[in-house]
Amino acid sequence: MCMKMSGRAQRLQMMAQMNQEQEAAAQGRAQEDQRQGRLSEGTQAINRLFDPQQLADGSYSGFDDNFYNNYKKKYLDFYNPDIDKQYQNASEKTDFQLADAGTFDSNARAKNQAELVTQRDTAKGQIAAKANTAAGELKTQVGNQKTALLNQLYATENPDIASNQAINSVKTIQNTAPDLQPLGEIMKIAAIGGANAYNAYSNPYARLGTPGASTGKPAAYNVPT
Amino acid sequence: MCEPTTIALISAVGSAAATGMSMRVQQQAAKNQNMANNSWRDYQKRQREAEGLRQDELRGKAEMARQQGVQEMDPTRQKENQVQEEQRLTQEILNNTSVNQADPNGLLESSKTGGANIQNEMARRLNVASADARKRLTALAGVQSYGGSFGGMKNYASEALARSDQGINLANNMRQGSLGAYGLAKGVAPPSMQPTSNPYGGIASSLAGIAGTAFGTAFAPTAGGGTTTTPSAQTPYTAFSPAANFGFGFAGPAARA
Repeated sequence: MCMKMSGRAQRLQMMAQMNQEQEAAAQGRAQEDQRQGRLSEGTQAINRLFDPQQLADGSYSGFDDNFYNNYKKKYLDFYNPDIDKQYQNASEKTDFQLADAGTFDSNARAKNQAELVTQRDTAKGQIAAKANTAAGELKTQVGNQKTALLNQLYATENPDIASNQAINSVKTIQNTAPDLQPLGEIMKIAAIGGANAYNAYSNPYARLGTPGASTGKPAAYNVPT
Repeated sequence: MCEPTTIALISAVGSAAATGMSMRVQQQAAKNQNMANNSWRDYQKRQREAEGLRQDELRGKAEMARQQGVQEMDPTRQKENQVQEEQRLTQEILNNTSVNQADPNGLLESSKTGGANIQNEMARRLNVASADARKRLTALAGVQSYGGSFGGMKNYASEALARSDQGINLANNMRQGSLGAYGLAKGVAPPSMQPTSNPYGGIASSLAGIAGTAFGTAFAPTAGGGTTTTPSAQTPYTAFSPAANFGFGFAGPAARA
């Protein structure tokens, strides 16, 4: 009888020992499940903040196309007026010089103005391309920040920290302003002065001044091509 | 004092019984060990299978992310994307210009004073100017679409790879963690039986010794060729001293002396 008890006790002892280890392993598994849950939660929080997602009211959260379009618009709003102004000045200056040379109503004007139009359109196109590239760089920056935050999440395994950092990053990015530099002189006016001198030399009327200047009407010297 | 023969018989029976009990205890212990081993094997099998499923699932997620990346990086798809980006960018760039507008600055209007020839020439020159600008800007958009424009190949590829990396990294992180947790389960040692004293073996051995001695005493030949002697004439059987040797298997002090 005593030996039977001993055998049962032995069996119970073995099972208890194994159960203890299994419980430790189960506890480890539960902790791992919780860790994975935290990772998923943190990843979702970061994705919610960064990826474009449609909200209930139809608007979008995250960095959607509107965000980048606004950035491009700021870029263009800074440079376009400058180009327009430079074009305007150059166009006027050309007209004045042509008028001074007595060639306002001439094909020379068509040539010079057309050249300025080409310069202006090319410059505005280049600015649009640069704005696009800047928006692309901003998008890359957003992507890099998201990756960095995900890596931090893997390191800390704390979704709250990851979420707070993501919010701060989002605010920082949203306050990002394009690094805008003054455009400089982009319009090149043709050397109308040479034509002016030649005109003054060869045209006796030019020596008398610009005809019609007193009436405010442009001179009407046609230069046949 | 008992008769040696009786003592021998009783001891022999006792030894046999103790041997049987000892065997039973050993069998029980072996049975317990087997049961525990089977239970441990089942546990390990369950854990192994569950971990295998988890690993497969997570590997599947990583593989899906990788395949997604491969699909997005497919040259055909990249070319398609480049063409779309070129068209989109061309439109976006040209929209910022006036190349598609007839007379945005009133140049044609202002040239009317010079007559039809000048007006025609102005119109022709402006058309050429717009066409030149459009051509250059279209080429610019084309070049940009191969590089770092908003949806250009550079950004497209880095985004696709980042998406793929994120999916793979998350799944791998979880896979590694799961493997670590499985390591704990794998480390659960098989139960081992603690060696416990089995008194039956000692009892059997002692009784067998007593029985042997008693038989020897009972059937020992006499010195004069007689067959038996009275026990009183023999050396008193002092080995049988239960208090001294029962269960311990050694003779008492008198026997040793």
